[in-house]
Amino acid sequence: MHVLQFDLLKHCLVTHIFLLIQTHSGHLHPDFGTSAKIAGLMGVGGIAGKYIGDRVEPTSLPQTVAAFHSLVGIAASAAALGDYANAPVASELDKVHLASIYLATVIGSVTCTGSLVAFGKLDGRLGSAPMAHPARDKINMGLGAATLGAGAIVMGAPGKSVLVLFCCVWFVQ
Amino acid sequence: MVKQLEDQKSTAFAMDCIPRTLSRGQTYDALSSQANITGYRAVVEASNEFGRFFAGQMTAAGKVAPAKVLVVGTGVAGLAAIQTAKNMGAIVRAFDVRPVTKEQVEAMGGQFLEVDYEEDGSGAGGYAKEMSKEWHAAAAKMLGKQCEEVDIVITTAAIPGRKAPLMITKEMVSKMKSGSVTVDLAAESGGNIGTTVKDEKFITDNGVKCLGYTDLASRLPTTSSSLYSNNISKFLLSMGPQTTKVKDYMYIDHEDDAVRGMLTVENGKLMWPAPLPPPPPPKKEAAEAAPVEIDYRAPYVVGAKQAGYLGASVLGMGCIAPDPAFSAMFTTFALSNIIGVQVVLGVTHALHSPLMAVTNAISGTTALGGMHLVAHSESAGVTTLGALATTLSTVNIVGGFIVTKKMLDMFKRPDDPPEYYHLYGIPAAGTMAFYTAGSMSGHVPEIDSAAGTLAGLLCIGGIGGLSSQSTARLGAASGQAGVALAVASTL
Repeated sequence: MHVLQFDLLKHCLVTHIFLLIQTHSGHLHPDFGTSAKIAGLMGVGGIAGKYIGDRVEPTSLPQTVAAFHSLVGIAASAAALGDYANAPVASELDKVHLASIYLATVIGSVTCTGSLVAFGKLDGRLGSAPMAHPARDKINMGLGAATLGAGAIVMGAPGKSVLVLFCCVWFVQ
Repeated sequence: MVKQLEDQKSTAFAMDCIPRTLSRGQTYDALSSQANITGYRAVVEASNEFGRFFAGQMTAAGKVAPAKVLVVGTGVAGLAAIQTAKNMGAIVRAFDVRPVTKEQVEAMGGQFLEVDYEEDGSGAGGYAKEMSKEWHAAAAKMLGKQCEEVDIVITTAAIPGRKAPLMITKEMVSKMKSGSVTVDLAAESGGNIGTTVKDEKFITDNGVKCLGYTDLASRLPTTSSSLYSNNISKFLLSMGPQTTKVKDYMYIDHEDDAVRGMLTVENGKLMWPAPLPPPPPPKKEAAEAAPVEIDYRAPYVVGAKQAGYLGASVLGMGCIAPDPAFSAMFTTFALSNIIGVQVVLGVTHALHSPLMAVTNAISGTTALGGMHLVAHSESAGVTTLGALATTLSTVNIVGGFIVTKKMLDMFKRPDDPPEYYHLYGIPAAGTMAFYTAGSMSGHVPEIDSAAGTLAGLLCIGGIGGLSSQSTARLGAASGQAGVALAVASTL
């Protein structure tokens, strides 16, 4: 897949997932201490972002975007993992929340590694020829099925997950 | 003269024998440098004899039609003539036996005429070769028709070491309009035009002025001398080190195509002619394409299948949906997919990268997830994860928008009108103040949800704005406001 198309796909998905989480979690109304903490964290991140952004050369703008994007991937996965760990009893999380956590983790990880590879290619550190593994379709399908299977375990609803799995395999074919 | 050089045991180079296909040889190709001047001067001479403007004009005193110029032979001189005539505003048509020159003619702004008979005239060493009888008949017919239409004919067709081919016959000239001009650059070697008299201006019975000057380059003495002296000095400087790479040492290197090609006499021994490089291989006939049967039904079958998948998968989601909240969210997800596709569908190619950068910056809204965690954290580990998510996402937001701005700045031209996008900061700050006041008061609980919607709209507007140059900067501003409002509405 073309680097740009791949990136675009990931962007769409990440944005969707986080719109979901955002809608679900609602407004915070934090106390003063928490607000200060969050402001401090964003201050650190903002300064780092400005430092990097101001120094990047015009020719290396695309790979900088890719590098930044891998940070989003890490952030998405970290937030989702934290969300899961933060629940008093994981099994009490409702299905929607659980599904969004799982998807955010998966997509965040794909975003992170995919963006790092894109960065490597754009920066000339990796070869840019597309990898044509003879069994790539099978590997991809296997990974996809494993992802769905893991999702089924997380969701803890074997019956319906098998149905999903079946639908998806049919869809891929 | 060659005999005399041999007797004197001299070493001599002929400046007009540089292999013309050698790209590095162009700097010392005297034929090219002089032909360029000749082509230019041919148009100047023609305009001097021609009784009308070259460019068409609409004046208060009446309409003047543009002159039509036909250039036959599009080598260096021909191309120079095309360019000069085009710059003066004439309609330029050109013809050459080598179809490969078509692109060059069109790049100069000329129209390339084609003969209704297929034969490639590309010969050895970048020159034209002689063509078959049938081709000549077809070419003569075409040129005859052109002569009736055009006002000025400039011919430059030469085959090395032979009499120049007769391209425009006396009959063709007799059909030309009175007051037309012909310039024959091949007059030296016999001429391409039947009415050419060498070194003279000849006026035919029907009033066509035929120029046969052979000293056109000398009529531009400053340019021709300076270019010729450049040719000689560049050639001398290139000898020796070209193949041996030993600097500051000049000798006659037979391995060097340029030196060998121009070497006429070496120590009294005749070295000319050098072996010519082979002509380009003939093009392979394209295999006749088998008639393809188009299956008109296939795309509909594919479409019907996809429609089936869509219906089944959406209803399937309905079967496995655990509660109304899931369904509501699935609806949002499905609709946002359509928005996403529509928004980026029309993006212009040059804006792909800035669009990616702004989308990336907006996807830094993952910070919101991190902020939730920090606020609701029940353990140190979770706080760390939340802090990590918040910080990294903010790096991405700030850096992403800076990168977007830098990318968009690359499209800026010095003569672009001034921009006042900072004025959008006023409504952005006003909205933020309105929202903060409303949220703090606690009397309008639904304002949070509205702020979230507004943030979403601004982010979508940001991505959508990046699809065209005229709205790109506004889009970047919209995205920034959207992310800022999203952060504010979460806090």
